[in-house]
Amino acid sequence: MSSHREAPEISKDPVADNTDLYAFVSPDQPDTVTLIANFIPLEDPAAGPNFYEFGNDVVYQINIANSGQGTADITYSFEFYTEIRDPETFLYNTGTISSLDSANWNRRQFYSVTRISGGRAEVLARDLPCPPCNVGPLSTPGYANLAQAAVHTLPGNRTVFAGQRAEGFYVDLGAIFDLGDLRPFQTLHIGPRPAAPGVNATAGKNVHSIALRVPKTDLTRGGYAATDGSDPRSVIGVWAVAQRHKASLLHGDGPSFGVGPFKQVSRLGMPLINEVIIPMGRKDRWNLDSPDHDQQFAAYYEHPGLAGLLPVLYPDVFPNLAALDKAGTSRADLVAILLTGIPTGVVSGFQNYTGTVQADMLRLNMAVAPTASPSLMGLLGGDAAGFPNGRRVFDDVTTIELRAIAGATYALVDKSYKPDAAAGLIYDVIDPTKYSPATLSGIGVTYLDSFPYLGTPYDGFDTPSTTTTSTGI
Amino acid sequence: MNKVTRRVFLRRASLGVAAVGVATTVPGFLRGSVKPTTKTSPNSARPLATVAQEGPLVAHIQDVSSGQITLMIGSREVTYQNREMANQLLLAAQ
Repeated sequence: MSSHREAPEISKDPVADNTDLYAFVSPDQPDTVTLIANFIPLEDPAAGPNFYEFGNDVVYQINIANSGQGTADITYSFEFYTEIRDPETFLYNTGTISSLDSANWNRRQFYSVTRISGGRAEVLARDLPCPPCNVGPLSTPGYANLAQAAVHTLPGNRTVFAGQRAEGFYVDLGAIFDLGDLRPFQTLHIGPRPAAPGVNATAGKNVHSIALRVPKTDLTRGGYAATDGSDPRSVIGVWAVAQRHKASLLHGDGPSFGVGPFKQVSRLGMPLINEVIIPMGRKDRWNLDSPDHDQQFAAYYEHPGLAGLLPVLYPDVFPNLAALDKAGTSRADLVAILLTGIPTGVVSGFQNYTGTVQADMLRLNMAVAPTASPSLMGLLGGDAAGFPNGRRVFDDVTTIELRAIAGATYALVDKSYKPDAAAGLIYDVIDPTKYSPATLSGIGVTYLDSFPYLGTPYDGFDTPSTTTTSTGI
Repeated sequence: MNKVTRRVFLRRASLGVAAVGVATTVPGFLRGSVKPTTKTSPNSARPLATVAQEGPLVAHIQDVSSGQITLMIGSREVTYQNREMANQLLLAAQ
């Protein structure tokens, strides 16, 4: 998963678990950038009576680096609280929820948004209502309208939404972690089995999203409008974190009690890094640290374990990758893509370089205009508006990173290297050349054309849609 | 109506004067990791009643021999250096 349950400690703390991060130039308002941080992995829509919500004891933040240091120059901070109308009922709702202030909605959540920059904090809004979870057709009919009512305008031409959304990330999780037995390439695996179509493990799942759309000038140094793609000021680095009080106590009959300064427990910049690049023994540490300290992890990017595994799991399929790995070659391509950004001259007409500081951040060159017909393969598909130039909701980041690790991008830094044919063909779940954002609905993934871009969450009554009946033993 | 979040209540009590849209100095809890203050004597300039309003106090001693007591209250952390007090607390926990 992009970053769902990716480290031992955070896998036990879902409301603080940052699952995906997106940053892209808004296709319908190209003078703005949309930032989305998702939390709470793999929500089953039928979750009553306690439907999912953000942590009231968690501080959620989206950080922006615009000075090349891998430190937060701008932070958007989000804090939540919950109100219960009637503590004497066991129900989330006692009738149809037709509006965000419905008297039938028993457990509502609200939040504040604060922008921090230059040592100053500006509260942009307080007491903004979240939408309810999508309970079902009797409780939350017309859910799209409810969600739209929870899209709030903030000062400075900013827009915000916080609430449940359909999971937009797709992955064949079962195959990847069953010893890399990627469907439909099982016939080539060291433990060969018949080929089968890929399976999207996140189909029918929801997530909780914090989405923020802001003018580009809100993110750049000195309010630069990001009009020139070669200008370093057009490039930002983005990462999200979740923080908890240093100590938590169970006492009395109330909820757990937090005290002390807030400490980071989760972070996410580039997808799949803590998932696949960082080894088990350092995953928790990675979550606690900040991007400007990521040089300590550089060896795992230079020599990723998966690059060594692929030739073993798929004998004779990746001979050139095997030779590269055997020679102990440092993967300068991965370091550039994942840790510093791509400098000018590597990919014709493109750069998202933030300097020599190695830092795990989602880098976005905001001067690149949105693409009318986007490629799910992003930059690898010739579409510079997509991953790893930021990340759009539909980008096939798993396949892109899989191919990069398999050697497809090493020729960018060593023209004498010939990638294995398989490095350009391997994929996860779907062949990305045969799909568009719209046709991803075929694997249970839907999106919106407008803010907040992630699709309407699955409702609990109709999901899962398959019925299991029991005839007894 | 039940407000579930204690922290929000405390924040409003202490920072409620900051109106929406008005820039203020960054409160510690928004900055994430806050560098702890180290003291060797109480800060008498801060009224005790004000400190008490921040909520329950938690003391943490990692190593009694160091004499270092970490005090957590509200969203703050103070490191208090007092070997005698650390020993007294150890005795109390006997």
